[in-house]
Amino acid sequence: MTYQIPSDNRFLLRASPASSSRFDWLWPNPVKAGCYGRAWGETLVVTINHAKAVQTLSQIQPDRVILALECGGFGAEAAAAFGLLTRQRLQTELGQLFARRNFEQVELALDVQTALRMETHVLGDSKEALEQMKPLEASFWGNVPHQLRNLSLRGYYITGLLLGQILLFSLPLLIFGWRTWMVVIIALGVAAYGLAALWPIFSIQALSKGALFSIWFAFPVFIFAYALYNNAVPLALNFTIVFVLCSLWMSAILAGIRT
Amino acid sequence: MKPLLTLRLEIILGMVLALTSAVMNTYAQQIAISNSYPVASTPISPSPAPYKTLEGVWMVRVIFHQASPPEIIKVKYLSAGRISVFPAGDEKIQVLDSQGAILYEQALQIVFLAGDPPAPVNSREMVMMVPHLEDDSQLRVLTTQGEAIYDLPDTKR
Repeated sequence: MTYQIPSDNRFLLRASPASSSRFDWLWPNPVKAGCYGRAWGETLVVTINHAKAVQTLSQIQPDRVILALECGGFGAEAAAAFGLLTRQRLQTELGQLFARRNFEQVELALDVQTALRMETHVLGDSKEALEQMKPLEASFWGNVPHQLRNLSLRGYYITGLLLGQILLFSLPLLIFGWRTWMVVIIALGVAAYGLAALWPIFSIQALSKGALFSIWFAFPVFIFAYALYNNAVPLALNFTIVFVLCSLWMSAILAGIRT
Repeated sequence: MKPLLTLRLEIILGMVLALTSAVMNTYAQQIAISNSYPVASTPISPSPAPYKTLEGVWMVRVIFHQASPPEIIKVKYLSAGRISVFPAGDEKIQVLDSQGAILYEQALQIVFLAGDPPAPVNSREMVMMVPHLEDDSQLRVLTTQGEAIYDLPDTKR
């Protein structure tokens, strides 16, 4: 996986975000990725671009520089589960930052440390920090519990995001009656949980994942809908098209929200 | 992976997607209902003649709704009677045999107006007479909103 080299603006110091949403389990809650805090800070704290995380760190550690990684506004655990936050990515971002400036000490926010399964949150100075970021050696079998944990985490987080989308969709859908509401919500749920389960399989753009997923599962979904609707082809076809649209939609949602 | 949407765009596009899905679903429901209308493939013979007293008819009480499927409230066997005749329309009442084949069909038009002067109503209750035929097993009422099926009792014989 490759990452774009950030522009110079990326590492301009920003002021701490003033407030954060209280419903961040229903929607991603992002702030601009980049550095926050004071220019003279000699300690770097790495966190994700989740508004609450950046705000809390800015308040309790005002004399440090905070690096908020672009994770779509998800929490650290969710970002790690969806493959947005990885050691490799952290190493890339730190490398780009250290090319411009060194720090006496580099630390990880505690939720980032937990999400990345790091032994310690203190990474030493700039040079040591990069060395500690080497990816863990992992075999297929050695990775299984980790994958299962991520799978259950994705299931947990997609439930919150799905509830948020149900709230968003309900008003227009209920105008057309509860049957229409149920059909679209079932399609949205099938797409959401299916995508969450298979999310890390391909290292491609979010919409491409959604398109690939919907192409793969269009036929089984059509058969399911055909049985569900008592052999009514137009309704089964409609359900399949709605499923494809919902897959694309949920894949865009799972990529996070930008500011 | 770069995020694609801003929160404002997410809300607007989400609403548009929900509306599109809902319109498509409503349209598909209408197509499915019109496609599922069973049509008698062969002329129904012998066709019970109207305006003539028959031996054995079913008196059927049906409520037609403007926004939901019809309801068959009551079915009663009468030893003699005349079948109902209505202006032809999109709604249908059918007598089926045990295999689902149509033995008798009467098209009718429901006007959702009632009272004097006529005022729009959401539901209309109607009583209809349909013939009792040799192998009849079910009654079916079809409207653009859906269908209702009633299993005819054996106690009539």
